[in-house]
Amino acid sequence: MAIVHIGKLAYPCVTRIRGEEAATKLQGQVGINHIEVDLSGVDMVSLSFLDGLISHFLRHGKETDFIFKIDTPILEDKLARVAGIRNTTIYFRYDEKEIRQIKPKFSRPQKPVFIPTKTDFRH
Amino acid sequence: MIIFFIIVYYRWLFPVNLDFSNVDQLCAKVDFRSPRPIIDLSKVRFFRPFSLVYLGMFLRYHNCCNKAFDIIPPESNAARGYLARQNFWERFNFNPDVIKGEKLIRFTTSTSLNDIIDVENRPNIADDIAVAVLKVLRNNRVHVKVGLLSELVSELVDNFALHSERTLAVVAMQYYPNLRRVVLAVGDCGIGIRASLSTNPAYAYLVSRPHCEVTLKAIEPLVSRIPGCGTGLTNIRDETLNLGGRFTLTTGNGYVIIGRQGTKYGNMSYDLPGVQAELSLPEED
Repeated sequence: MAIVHIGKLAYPCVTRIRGEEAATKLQGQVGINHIEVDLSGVDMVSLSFLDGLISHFLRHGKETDFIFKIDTPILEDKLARVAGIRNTTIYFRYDEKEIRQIKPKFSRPQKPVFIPTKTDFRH
Repeated sequence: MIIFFIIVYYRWLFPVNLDFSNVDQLCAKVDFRSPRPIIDLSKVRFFRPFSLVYLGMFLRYHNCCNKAFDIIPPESNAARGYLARQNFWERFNFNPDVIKGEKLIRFTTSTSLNDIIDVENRPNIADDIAVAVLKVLRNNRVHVKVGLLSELVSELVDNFALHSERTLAVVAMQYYPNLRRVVLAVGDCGIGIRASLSTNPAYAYLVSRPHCEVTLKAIEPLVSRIPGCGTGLTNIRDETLNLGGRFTLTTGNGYVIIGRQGTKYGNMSYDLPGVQAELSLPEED
């Protein structure tokens, strides 16, 4: 299995376009082996970046060719939210631990309340 | 009930803080029949970042339409000094589409806490702002999840870059140590959420819907002008709630506020083009 640190593909890892660019760079390596994308130790890995990366894999039917190595629950949460939004399967592992499938997380929006007049609206 | 009305009347007569609750009313009161309309800031003692951005975009938009204003400055020395330090009048008193680059650069070179910066629409601007905000928050030892806050700001700047169809936006960052809170505001006077989203044929029906309803729609996952995109505002909503903060979003005459007290939406008193947003996040214990 090939291991690629995300820092070698993109910095900073915040925008969707950077995620898509990183996915394009990775795509050339897919097919021979699975690839482990190491997200650990990076300042910022945004949800948009991950969504750009993963949705690119999805469009090319390559989403199960990748495993994400992470080091924080925040990253796990982001991967779970992408899995929920995209309704897809994502594999991940923490350092030295077994590979697991992410449990998708679905956002539960609050029911919005219409406020007819904003006069002296304090929040 | 009487006390309530006295308080409301007093605040209307003597506004102390200019913020989301009243900045649109201030703009709505401006009499455009006059050749040089008056903006009266004499009673303002304190400017929240959202109000600075909103008022700045109001001035910039009308300046682009060749409208000049007479402004009555704040009586408060502190408020007047604050605006002067931010180069507020000079900053918003030009048309960004015609200003020369060397003049513009004066406003875009520094990023610091308690400051306003103008943001040019250029490649990788959201990345650059994210890194700059991260650095500033770390250097000032602000106890928020700095990576996450920088990420959310970059989402807002990226939305401006992708959808506003304008040259400049503004970012204001303010840290309130006593309140243990960081507030960031981002604004532009571009085409706004409704005009942008309705260019996607799937959402063309929104062109005749109220701005506030369209804004609620835009916050839903995978709703975007660009097919397949649309996670930015959803992410801001979810992370703001996770962090116990508040997210305010206005476009045209619509607003949405998301926070612990729920999601509220409605109409602003003034119909200002573009998108203006504020993130208010508490420091961690």
